[in-house]
Amino acid sequence: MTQNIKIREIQEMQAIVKEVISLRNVSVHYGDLPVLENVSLSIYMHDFLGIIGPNGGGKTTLLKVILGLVKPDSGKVSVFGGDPLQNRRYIGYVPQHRLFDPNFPISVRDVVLTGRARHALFRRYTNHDKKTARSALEMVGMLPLEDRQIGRLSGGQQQRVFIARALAAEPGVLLLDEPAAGIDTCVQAEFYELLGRLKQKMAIVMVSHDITAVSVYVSKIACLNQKLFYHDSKELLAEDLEAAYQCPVDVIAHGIPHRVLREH
Amino acid sequence: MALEYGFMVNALAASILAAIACGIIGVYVVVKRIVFISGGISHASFGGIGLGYFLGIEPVLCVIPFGIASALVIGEVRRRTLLSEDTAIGVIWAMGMALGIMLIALTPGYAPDLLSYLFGNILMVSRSTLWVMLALDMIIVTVVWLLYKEFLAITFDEEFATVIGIPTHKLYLVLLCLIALTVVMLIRVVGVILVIALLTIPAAASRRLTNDLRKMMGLSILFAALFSTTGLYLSYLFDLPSGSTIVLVSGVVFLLVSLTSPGHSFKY
Repeated sequence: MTQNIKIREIQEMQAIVKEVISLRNVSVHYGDLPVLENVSLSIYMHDFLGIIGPNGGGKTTLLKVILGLVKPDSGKVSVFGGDPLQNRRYIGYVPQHRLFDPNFPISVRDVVLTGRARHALFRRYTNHDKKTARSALEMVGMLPLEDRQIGRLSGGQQQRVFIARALAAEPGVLLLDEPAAGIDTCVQAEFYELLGRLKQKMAIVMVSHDITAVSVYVSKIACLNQKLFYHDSKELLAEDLEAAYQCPVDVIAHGIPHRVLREH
Repeated sequence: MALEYGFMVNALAASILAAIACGIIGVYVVVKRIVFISGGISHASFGGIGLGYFLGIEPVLCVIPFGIASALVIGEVRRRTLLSEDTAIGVIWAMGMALGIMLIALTPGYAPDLLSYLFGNILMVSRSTLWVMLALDMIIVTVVWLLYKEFLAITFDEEFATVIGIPTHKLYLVLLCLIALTVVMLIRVVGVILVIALLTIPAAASRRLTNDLRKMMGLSILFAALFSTTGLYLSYLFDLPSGSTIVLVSGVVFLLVSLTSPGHSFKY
């Protein structure tokens, strides 16, 4: 009996090590309106997971559940093996950049430094904080513009700054909400390559309504519309997509390495 | 000239002391877009003035706890209730005013300087009030100096600040309390009803001249001092009510700065 419990504990520990984020049967309702229904999801280190789905399908809510900003009505969420409220500090959150106030009087450097604000809570930023912020800016290629006011950048540049801010906190997983929205297609390619590089060091979860752009770069893909369709792989069944979007969906196949649909 | 009178010296000192508070705190009010919340705190503070009359205590001293209480209520309501935030502010705004008027009506006798609390009368500032103002300034400057980085994080992006583990809500309540203290200082200068002018105009004008929050605070202190001393002098020259002269001077200068500032089109 005790031995069984021990074995279970060890198994749980192993699961914790592997799983960065785990959701078990999570449901969320806004009033009577179901937003997420019985969603289960495991995200592992070095995953680059794209979550696609129609607008209003619960993508942002799913991110907020992981971040502990929305409390699920039922189910269990764990982040790095613990409570999201405790462990969300290890998540690098990149919200939709179009939701910012572009008039805010803050420089690129100071935006990225706020990523260190918890480390430097109630004291001044140390040289280490400044260096970490600086190398985050360098990683996204925005160091030359560090003195600019945030609103005086293009959408793609702002997005990079917000990624740098998330990286400055030295996260174990990056969560991005519609990162490609409002960014030119040619800049997008560069942007996804940046994410591909970051994947070496952490897990990345990205939600988007743009199926094709996502499907080329991610290593795993899920589809969300209240229910989550996910097979821990890069394959989505045509039935899943149809069920999620509730209409037939044309997906351009990108050859074997990039395909979204199985070969029929 | 004007400075021969002791009350003019006090008035001048009061306008400089108030400028320091509203220059710094006004910047947060403007960039975080909490003008309506600040209006709610200042009007609700009138309840404190009524309480002062009723209890026979110096009203300004009663406004401090009353203003802080309404700031905390507004801050908590925002987080907990199912009411929308601006509805809740509207309710507290009006209830504070109504309570103040009710308490004054219940106080036996005549309330001589009631109008000065509503519309300000900087010429009535006493020496002891100046000491209170100086103390409030020191509190405000110290807290902002200590929490500058944290305030910047929560005013720019509250959600991100929450996620990375900053005690966002508590810091927000501290900021609202600082607004309440600033309101207390401004009540003497422009009155409960016109407080919002000095909390917004100097900061908004300075935003047009700089992209840096610290410089904005400095410029906004200068603007506030300039507006209130100019308004004070004009009100003395032409025998006008000081509070409304200060507000009108601020408004006119703000319009001029807005129309002439080079290439900036910031929507504040």
